[in-house]
Amino acid sequence: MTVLEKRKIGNTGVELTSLGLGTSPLGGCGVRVPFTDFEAVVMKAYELGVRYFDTAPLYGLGKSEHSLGHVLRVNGIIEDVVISTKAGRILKPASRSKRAESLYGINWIDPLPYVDEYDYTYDGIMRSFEDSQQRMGVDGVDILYLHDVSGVWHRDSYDLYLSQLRQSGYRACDELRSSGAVKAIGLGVNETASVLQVAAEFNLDCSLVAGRYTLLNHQPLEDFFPEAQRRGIAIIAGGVYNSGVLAEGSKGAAAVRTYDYQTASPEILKRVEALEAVCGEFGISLATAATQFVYSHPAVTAVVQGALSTAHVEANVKAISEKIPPGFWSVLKAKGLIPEAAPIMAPAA
Amino acid sequence: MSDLARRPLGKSNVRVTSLGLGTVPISGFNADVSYDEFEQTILSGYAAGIRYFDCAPMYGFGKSEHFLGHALRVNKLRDDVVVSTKVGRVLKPASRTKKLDSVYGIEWIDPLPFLDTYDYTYDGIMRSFEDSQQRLGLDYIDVLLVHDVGRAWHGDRSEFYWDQLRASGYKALDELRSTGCVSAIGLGVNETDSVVGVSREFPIECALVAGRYTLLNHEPLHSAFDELLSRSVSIIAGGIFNSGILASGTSGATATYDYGKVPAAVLDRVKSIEAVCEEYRVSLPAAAMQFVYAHPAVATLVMGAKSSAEVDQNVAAINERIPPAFWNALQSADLLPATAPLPAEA
Repeated sequence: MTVLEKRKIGNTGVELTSLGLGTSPLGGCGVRVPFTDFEAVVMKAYELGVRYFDTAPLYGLGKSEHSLGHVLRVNGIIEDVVISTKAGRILKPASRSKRAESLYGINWIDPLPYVDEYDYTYDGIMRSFEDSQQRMGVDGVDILYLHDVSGVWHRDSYDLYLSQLRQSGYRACDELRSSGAVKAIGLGVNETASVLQVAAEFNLDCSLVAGRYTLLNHQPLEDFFPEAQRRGIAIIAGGVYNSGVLAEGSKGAAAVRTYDYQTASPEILKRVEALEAVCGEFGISLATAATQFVYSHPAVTAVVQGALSTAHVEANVKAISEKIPPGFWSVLKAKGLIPEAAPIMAPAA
Repeated sequence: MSDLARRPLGKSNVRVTSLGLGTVPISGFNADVSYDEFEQTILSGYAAGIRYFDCAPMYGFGKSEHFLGHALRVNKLRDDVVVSTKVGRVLKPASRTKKLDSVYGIEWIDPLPFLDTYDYTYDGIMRSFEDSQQRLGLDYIDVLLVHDVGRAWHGDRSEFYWDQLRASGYKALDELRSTGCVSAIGLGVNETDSVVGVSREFPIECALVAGRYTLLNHEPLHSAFDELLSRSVSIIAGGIFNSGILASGTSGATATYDYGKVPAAVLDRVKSIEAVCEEYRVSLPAAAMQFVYAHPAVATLVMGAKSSAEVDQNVAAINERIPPAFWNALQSADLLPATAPLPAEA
């Protein structure tokens, strides 16, 4: 078993392994995932040292939570891992509900028979959390992320949901945290702006942010990370491959070497090729560089990666634990591929 | 696979097989049961023709529902079976809840980390039902039974909970039924009084009644079953072995009668029944099961099982051929009342 490094989320008592397993793909995001695959992937991650698992009501419309709770319980490891789930969506029986319109319109394959409904009010957050407890069969969860509190996601409705949070939602989060039902509160989003906006109003312990700080996108260095560090908000980084291109490489099939779920532009592909050249020189994989670049930032507490197969899990564990030869990062900086200012924290010995 | 007979629950469109599988014994009732054993038992029941499965929030504090939902989903059986669960208890996180004092004081082995609180109000029943949906992962639930309402369970508190049910709980049940969230409503109890009582106030389709009508207890023949028949309330019969004695017989080392020591008079009675069984080469469990199923008020027998072997025994017993003369012999020996309906020849 790999022993993965652990970092704490402030003084919440929650400690995360460098790698967490995200269960959105396992929830059936566009592909059919039999339960046996779900179980195999979770158990492989555990076997390889992963002790942090992220789920959400949205993923498979409850199925990811139900299956994750079941797998962790029947394998007797539920007390041994950190679990995060999300709040902000209530699941209702599909036959008597109207489906929420979401920007991405994810096609869940073989989900639970529910549809999701946004609700960031006190009642909504409490109900979302309590329903998650029932679906997973757990007494509490370690981390609760407010899901998709984001202008990028909600667009014109963002103000409405933000005002739900302000009027009563924050109070639910506060109560859940102070009662010990959850140990840490954060946002689970695809942008940095809303994290800063909410952080200015409510005391966040952490946030799961997807695709914002990567080998190809360094924008958080300027404003987001310094502010998150100043406020003591631990960042859990998702989407470190920018949805594909940093895992598949420039030679990957166009359908999978995507950049933030879109076709990668020629400019992006050129940068990826340049990164690949340096990786080749040092004998490491692009995925390793992409994963450890993100984890090297001191604001980042853990990297969360999804997986659909045990081979995926093995590749992800290799990417976080493979040793990077000294000099690699300086070459990237010398070539202008990553900013001079990007901090590269030495891995714990 | 045997083709089990089906009967409707009252005037609902729910039709249940003659045997239903109860999930108490596989939810950690005095024994640690793994999920694999749970699933095997369910699948054996299905393979043997059982199409009705009963669970409850209380069983393993949510575990029976969580496991049953999972087993039905991954094996793709949901649309092929009838599921009943219960309302009246809301499960709360164990670390922030006070434990209930219950009459029976069941100690679930390795339950989900929840505790139960009674609530028969509108809000309580709705919440109980909606939580069951989430634990089961189901959109609708065929049969919803109000769990343990009545004096047998609640004793002096029974009036308090009756009032909750009357003041608002019935309204929740009515809404759940009329919106199609559930297809049939009933009670899940250990007595007939509460069933008759509720059926006079609120239309129900069925009632799961444990241990009240058996080879040894014919009390519902006096009036309860007639009245329930006239109101189209079907009985889901549980506890038909009176907790053990009618399965194990008098030679069974651990035989119990309604969860207690077997009284001498009961023991004598069982010995007499066994003698007739011997004479006609009928097994005692088969006689116990077929006697109960012969009553027109009874729609199905719900029986727990801890293993595939127990499921198979039960299915064999409901299908066992019993000569009509056997029943007449029991009646002649005064072991059955003359008013008891007897099984017709298969």
